[in-house]
Order: sequence, then C-alpha cells, then structure tokens
Amino acid sequence: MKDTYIFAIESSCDETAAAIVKNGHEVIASTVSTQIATHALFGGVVPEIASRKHIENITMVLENTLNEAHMKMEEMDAIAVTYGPGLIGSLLVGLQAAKTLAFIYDKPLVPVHHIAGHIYANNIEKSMEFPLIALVVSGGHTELVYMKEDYSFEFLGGTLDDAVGEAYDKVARVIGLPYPGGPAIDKLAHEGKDTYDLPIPLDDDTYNFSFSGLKSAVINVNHNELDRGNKIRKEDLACSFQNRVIDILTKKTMKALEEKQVKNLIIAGGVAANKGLRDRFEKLCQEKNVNLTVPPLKYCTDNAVMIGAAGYYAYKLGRISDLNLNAVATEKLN
Amino acid sequence: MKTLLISTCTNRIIVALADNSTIFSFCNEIIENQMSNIIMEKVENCFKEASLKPTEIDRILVAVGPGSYTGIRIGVTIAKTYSWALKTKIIPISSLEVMVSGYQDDKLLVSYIDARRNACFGAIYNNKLNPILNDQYILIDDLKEKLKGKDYIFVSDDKLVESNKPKIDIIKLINKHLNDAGVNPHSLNPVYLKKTEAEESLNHD
Repeated sequence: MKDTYIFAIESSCDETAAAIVKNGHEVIASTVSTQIATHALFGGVVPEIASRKHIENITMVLENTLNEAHMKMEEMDAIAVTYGPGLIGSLLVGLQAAKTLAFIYDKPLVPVHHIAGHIYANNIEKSMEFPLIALVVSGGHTELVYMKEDYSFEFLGGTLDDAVGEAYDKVARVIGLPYPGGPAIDKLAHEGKDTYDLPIPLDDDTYNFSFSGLKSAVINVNHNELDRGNKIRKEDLACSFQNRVIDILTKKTMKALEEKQVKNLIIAGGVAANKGLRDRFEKLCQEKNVNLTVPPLKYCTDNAVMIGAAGYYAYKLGRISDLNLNAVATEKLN
Repeated sequence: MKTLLISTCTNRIIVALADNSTIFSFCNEIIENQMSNIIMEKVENCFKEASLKPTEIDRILVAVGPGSYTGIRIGVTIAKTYSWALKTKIIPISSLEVMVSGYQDDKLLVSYIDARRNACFGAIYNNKLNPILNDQYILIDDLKEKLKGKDYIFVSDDKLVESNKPKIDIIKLINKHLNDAGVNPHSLNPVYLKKTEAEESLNHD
C-alpha cells in the first residue's frame, strides 16, 4: 500500500507547531516553537501576544519541519490543521497558513479538532486499541470521551468552568509558584501531606467536572491563614489540592470504564504529564485490569504530530474541507 | 511582472492580480465579518478569473497594517506563507496608502482607520502616494490639528469624522512600488503601531 504523508499545523494556544506524520503512526519531522517564556511574564497566556508570536514564527516552523524531513510540500498527501477549539487569533494563523498551502499546492485540507489531536498522541508508534475511554486534561480542556473505533467520538462530559490545567495555574499563582503551575504544584505536592480540608469538586453522577469551587477554596484557605497571621504550608496545600483533583478525575474516569465496559484507557493533554495523576491511574488500572496508555511527554503538550496522526484518519474517512474552513473558539468533539 | 495584491486590514477585502498596466482580476468588497472563512475563496476566484496559477506570480504586495490586528494577520499570514513556499518576492505596503491610492486630488489625502478611544491609525499622503505624515497611532483631534489651514480630504470606511470612501488604484500602487526591494518572508510581520494592552500595563507597573 502507498504511504500517506500528512503535513500538520497546530497553533491553538501558545505553541506554533508543524509536523509530518506517515500513515498516522510514524513521526517524520516535528517542530514546536513555544511561547511559555513570553507568557510567564504575565502569569498566563495573553491571547493578542500569542497571535503576534504565531505569525512571527509560522514560516520558520514550516521550513524547519520540511528541512528536518528532507521532503517537499509536493510530496504530502494532505494538509491537516487544528481549526478549534482554542484562541481564535492564534488558531487563525495556523489555519490561514494551512489554507494557503492547500491552495497553492492543490492539496486536500483536513480540519482536525484539537481534542482529537490530543487523543491521537496515543497513536504514535503503536495503534490505539478500541473501544476506549479517553481522559483529556490540559490547560484548556478537561473531557471524557468514549471511542468505539477510529475517529468515532462520544462526548461523555467535560468541565463546566475552569479546565484542570487552568486551575493549577491559578492555584500556583495564589501560593506563589511560577507559571505554568502544573509541574510546580505536582513537584511540591510530593513533598507535602494532605492536611487541608478542601472539597471534592462536583462529586456527582455525571461525567462533568468543575474546578472553580476548588480553586476558590484554596484562595480562601490561603486568605484565612494569612488573616490569622499563620504561614501557609505550601507543600501541604499543593498536596491537598492535587489529591482532590486526582480523586475526582480518577473516580469519574473509572466509572466511565465500568459503565461502558471498556478495558482501554488513554490519558492525553498537558496534565497527562502530571506524575501524581499518572501514579494513581497506574495503580487503579492495574487493580481493575485496564490497559492504560499515556503519550510520551513531548506529545502530551501541544504539538502538530498529534494533529498529523488524527488528520490521517480524518483524511482516510474523507473528512476534508474546502477553503472556507473557519476557526472556532469552542466546539464539541464529534 | 505579475503581481498579487492583498489587503485585509479593515472589513474591506482587497485582492487583485495585475501587471504594471493591466488588471486581470480585482476583488474590492466590504464584508460584514468573518474575513477568515471567505478570504481564500476570494483569492482562489481571482486566480480563476485571471487564468493564472500561483506559480505564475512574480511579486506579492501585501498591506501589513495598520488596522484590525486579526484582519492584518489574515492577509500577512497568507502572503508570507505563499512567498516562503514559492519563493515569490514580497513587498510590504501600508493599508492607509492603499485606501487613498485612487484619489487624484491635489489636496492632502488623510487616510485613517478607527482605533477606538477617540484615536485612529492615520497618515497623510499626496496624490503621488508619498507620505506627508507617516502612518501612526494618533488622537483624531491631534490629527485635525495638523491639518489646520490646509486643503485636505478624509478617506476612510469609518466615521470618526466626515469621510470619503476609499478608492483603490491597483496599477498606481504596483507602479509606485515597482522598484521596492523584497523582504525575507520569515521577517515579514504586521505593523500594529501599538503594543498590546498587556504589554502597556506591564510597562506602567
């Protein structure tokens, strides 16, 4: 069978990325230009600055990817691009670049949902096994998805307010840790004890999540302790917060596995890099005889390899778009 | 010398294919919103109408601002991706210059785009398209002050003051920039003329 090469572009938040992926599994080239250092000055991603950085970097990222692969755009079978969800201004840079390439090289344009991309980060090197439950956790997303087969997505639930990574960033700011908050809190949590009385957020029968209440509880604890002239025990607060997050993520995910009678779980998104989360899921999955997959660290955070992997299946299913494709800030995966 | 001209800095889409004496195709439309989904179709249509292929273009003239940040980025992303991919010479021009290019009047041509808070992105050109006042972010009252006692007309799609609609002369723009040096597409970037609010407040802290 002829090999299929997908040229993929991702620019939904603060990473400008491009990649070439062969047959949905094999990474031929990957470039990620991150803006973390820029946004760290502001304690979070500033959308207009992100857009400005994307346009400065986009053609360099494209060029680097082709050079690394020693390939030409003419050799690609399709151009895949993240069309949403994400920051509109950021998405538009990648989208216009992809549309321009599709137009001048007369290639099919394949729109890829960002969450589908995160899920397909688990398809690099080895194939995902179906049916599966996917837990997508990142700075912008917290979602549970059921997949019966390739490129079939059933949305089970998601966050009603803050994404889990966003809650980490905000809590980190409150207790004086640097941006991005996830890695800093994860590290500190391992040095502390679960001593603070924080609520388990949205502990109900749905597959939805809510982290703003938990975030507020942390802010209140911090505030009350300071009021009383006490010093906050940062490591204990980090540990208590992280435990509550992991409690609810694991509880609802394990429930989904049981209800759908599924034995494959994948975790995806930047927060999949969280060691506390990985450890707990590993233990639970072992107990329940569930096959757990987590992508390599470099494909947990935003990248274009995952868009190329997902884009391959979308392309094979004929899910291509005309040049009128637009970016969307929010859209459910389907 | 076949040229592709793109300007997407306001809600007016301008796409044209021409050489230095003949226009092959020309799109000049006000759009309601959603520049991003229709722009490539407009570009594609211009190529079809002109019976030209992307590889047959010698130069790109692209308006790099000032104007709507998102709008500018749409045109500039297309132009820099195109130029990088096909090694097409690329020349940045001003959106304000594009707007007054069709005026032959001997008066000062005062081109502006509403930038909110009683300010605008404005410039003054003569009918040879030479700048009398360079593109800048300026309060509309300060701009008026500079025009006192002079003979001028305002040109804009906006309504900060009574204004004439933009008139676009593609051939004049092409000939004006015929000998301009091209720039490296990697370093071609929008001209915003204004820092982001986040950067401004950071500097004030």
